[in-house]
Amino acid sequence: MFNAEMVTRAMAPEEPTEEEMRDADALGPGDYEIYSENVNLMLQEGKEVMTKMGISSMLHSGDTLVAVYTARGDLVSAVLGTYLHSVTGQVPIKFVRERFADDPSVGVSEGDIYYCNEALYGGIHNPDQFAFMPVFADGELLAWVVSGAHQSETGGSEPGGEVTQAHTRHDEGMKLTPIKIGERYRLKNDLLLMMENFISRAPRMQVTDVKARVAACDRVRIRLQELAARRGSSLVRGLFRRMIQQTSAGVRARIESWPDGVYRHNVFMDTTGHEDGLLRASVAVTVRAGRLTLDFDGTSPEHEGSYNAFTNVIRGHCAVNLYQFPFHDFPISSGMFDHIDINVPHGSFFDADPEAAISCSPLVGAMVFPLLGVALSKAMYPTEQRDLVCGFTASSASAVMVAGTNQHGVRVTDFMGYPLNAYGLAARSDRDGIDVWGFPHGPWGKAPDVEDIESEFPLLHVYQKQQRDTCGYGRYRGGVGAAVGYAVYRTSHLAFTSSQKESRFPAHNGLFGGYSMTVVPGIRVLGADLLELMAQGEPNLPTDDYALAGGDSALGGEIIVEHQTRGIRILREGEVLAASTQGSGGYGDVLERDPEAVVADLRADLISAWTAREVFAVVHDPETLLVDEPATARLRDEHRARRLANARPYGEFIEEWERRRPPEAVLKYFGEWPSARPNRVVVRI
Amino acid sequence: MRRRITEYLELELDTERWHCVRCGRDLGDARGNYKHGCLVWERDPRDIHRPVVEGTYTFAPDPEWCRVLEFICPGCAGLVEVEYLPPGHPVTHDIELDIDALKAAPPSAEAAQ
Repeated sequence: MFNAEMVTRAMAPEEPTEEEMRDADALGPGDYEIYSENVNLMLQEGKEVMTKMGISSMLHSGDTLVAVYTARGDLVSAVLGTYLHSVTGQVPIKFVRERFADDPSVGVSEGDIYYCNEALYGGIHNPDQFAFMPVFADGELLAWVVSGAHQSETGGSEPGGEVTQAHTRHDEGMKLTPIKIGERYRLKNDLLLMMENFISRAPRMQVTDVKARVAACDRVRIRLQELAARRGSSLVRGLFRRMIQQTSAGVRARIESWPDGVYRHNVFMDTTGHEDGLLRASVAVTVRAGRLTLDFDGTSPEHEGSYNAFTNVIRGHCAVNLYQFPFHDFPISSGMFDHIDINVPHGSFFDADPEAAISCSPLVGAMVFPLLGVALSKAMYPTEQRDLVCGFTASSASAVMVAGTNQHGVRVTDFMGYPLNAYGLAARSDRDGIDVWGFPHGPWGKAPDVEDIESEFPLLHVYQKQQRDTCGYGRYRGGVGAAVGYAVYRTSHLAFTSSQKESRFPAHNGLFGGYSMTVVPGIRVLGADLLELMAQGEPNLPTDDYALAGGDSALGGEIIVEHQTRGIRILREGEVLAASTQGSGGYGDVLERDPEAVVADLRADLISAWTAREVFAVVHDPETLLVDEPATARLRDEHRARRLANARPYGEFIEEWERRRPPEAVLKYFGEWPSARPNRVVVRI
Repeated sequence: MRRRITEYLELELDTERWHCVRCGRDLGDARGNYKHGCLVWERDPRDIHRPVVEGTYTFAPDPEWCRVLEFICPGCAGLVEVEYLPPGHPVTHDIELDIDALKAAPPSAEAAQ
């Protein structure tokens, strides 16, 4: 059934046909400039249709894609959403072409509507659902259109789509291989009913959003057929090829400008989804003669937990970095991969067995963000892309998912859209990172307003703010993350889960001497009644995560501080949950940060007085918050002297260092130490 | 000719040596890992990320899992790079340039500083 070779091959671009090349050469002056923009506007229109019709918060907050592909399934252009799906959208198209086009029981005809959400066939995880349609002109297949969006419920053993306690794929709910859900431009109600049956926690959301995806595809289909009727199919074919060529040529020229060499980085994950444990993700980025190779060899083995991925997931996450930073100014087309090879070792937790649980795979794939953020920055620093140097983000990139009956009596299951879109962005070579920046997977994400959340979900915001000291420190500091506290409100109880991580080990490093951001735990308070305290007019309520975790308020109750990754937890009305995010890494030596910038951060409550003095070595007046420049200069000299006094020559240091290792319990899932080669059999039933 | 490689590292191509940008200190063979020419200070992550509460999850990295290695220029005491690693984990050879290709290639405008 599943064919890993086919998936890998499908993500690479096809050789252009003679007809495509001839049509591209035949484009007239201005055709590319006018009609490439025309195609992008069609896609934008499709995305607007999907957003207007759809109802799930992930669809609205931007975990989406509408894209057009060549007749043979190569990406031509996309409007996003998230870059993830632009790459993986090729796979189901090529699968249908290979497997069903000549199968008389299925076939590919005008008016067909296909659908899929099975990650084995190119998606990221089964919450990501895709509609796709062939576009015919004059009876000939001209193109494919794909629209995708994350659906926050899959009928798994936990609500929310990302099943943190899953052991195998069988815990994760609906997984549709590419199927035809409509013919002659008409959806089949029997198949929609089948989906409702799978997604009984949120059936209305499922079917409405299926129709939104299909409507988006169909709108782009209509526009493409109009263009073909007006200017001919040859122009459309040639235009598509030219758009791919533009990306290909630009990407190659850019890689050629980077110094040949190998750039390596390692980051660490602190959970399997089931239990705390240390796993490593490694990359070696090789730049050689205009070609880029991303090799993830050295990554820890797969495991029985839920935090595994497939090779296509990792490739999709590479695309997030590549399209967003080094190649952000080229068309989002398959031409980028003409010059990029990616090796994802099978058997690692980056490419697990098809039976593995993978509904949390974006949390695994997100390890690529800091990995490539740092490694590519080191390749780009000596080049004209220095302004794009950025360590990117933490790898958590997720949020709390809630499920229950809301204040209107409607069953709801969804991600909390604000924290999902509120991670910090790393510092750059000439400026601080961005506080509470966004959704790492999709820079077009939109954080919903407090009022939107409170009208849809039975929640009251206790606080929602930037959280001090969550950034990485450096000459330029990373952006801070957000602290969000919710009280359950107007319902007897609410369930939540969380696929966030980085509560013991931060998966970043900072860049060029900058420090990593710190870690964030999960917090909940049971047996308390915040609503009653508010009714009494109690002024001493928790105002951020530190106050909530430290019990520095009148809230009372049992305070539980645990790993952010959590299976189902139940909260009663009036109890409190924190749903917070991380900042990102710093850049450069902390002792070079402008002292005025340090006290500015102190005034804005982005760092603490302890950090200002102990980390940045800035002396200030606690009343006026003015810098004492002579005292700061002396303290910084002391810090430099302390470095020299405590540091040892590399050879002396490494001799003792290499004799150490973490506690055995920590290494249970790491693989052999320190190679991370597989050292045990993974059993899945 | 010197070429800037990172915020704090430059290469002397003629002699094939790493140097500190700030003070010019020789940091070793350009075909090797510049970290070998640095001083190393192993730090408890809690010295940088202050714990907020007691227990296993403190808002600071777990010091049994994670150590902070600071690679310091012996000439000026400036930070050259930092790694967050489990205790005993091999130090990363993060930049391994093709020196011969670099010598043959003309530097870009920004690189030739």
